[in-house]
Amino acid sequence: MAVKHRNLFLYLTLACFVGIILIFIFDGYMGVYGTLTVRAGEEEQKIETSFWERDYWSTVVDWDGKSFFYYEVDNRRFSSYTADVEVSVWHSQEKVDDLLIQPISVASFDKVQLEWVLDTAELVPADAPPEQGYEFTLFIKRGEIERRFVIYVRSSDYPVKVLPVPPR
Amino acid sequence: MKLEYVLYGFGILFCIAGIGYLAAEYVKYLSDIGKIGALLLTIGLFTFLGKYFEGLGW
Repeated sequence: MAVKHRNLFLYLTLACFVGIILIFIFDGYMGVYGTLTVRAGEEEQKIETSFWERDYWSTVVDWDGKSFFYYEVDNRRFSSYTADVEVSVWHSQEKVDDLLIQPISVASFDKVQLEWVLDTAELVPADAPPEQGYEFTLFIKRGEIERRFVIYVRSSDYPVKVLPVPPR
Repeated sequence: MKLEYVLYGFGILFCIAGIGYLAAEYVKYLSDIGKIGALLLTIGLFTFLGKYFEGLGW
């Protein structure tokens, strides 16, 4: 009888351990996640929430080029999620333009995707020398959360190396 | 013989420290309810483990 009783404590210990692991898995899955996908030229970047929290990200766009942004909000909660999403472009601490201002409402365990296009031809000032390149910072604000993304506009006369043809 | 137990002790300590560090890192990302749940289960875990060793005669 004493052995059975003792084993019961061991099983309860194991049950608590399994419970902690389950909380870690379940709690890690639950929440609201924002994933940004950027397409610029032939390059595509996908930035998940867990990566974005630790660093800022960037991409390179051609002069007069366009970059396409897809922002997915994944609501993994039992209640709906509402927030205002504001996307703005900044240069030297000054706002250049608002690309998107949109309220979103995501149902429980559902996703919403927002899209916008950044056209450097519209944003780069006309007097900016094309041989120097340009930089923008994109601020994506969703409720209290703010992320930033740096866009490097490549100079138009970016030197293209031509490989010499080997003599025959 | 005694040296073996010292080494076992070090091994166990390093294991506990490693798991504790990983858990502390992960706990940062838990919600408040998750933290409370994990804390209660941790208290339960050590209580029942203590009872088990008590039954063994420790």
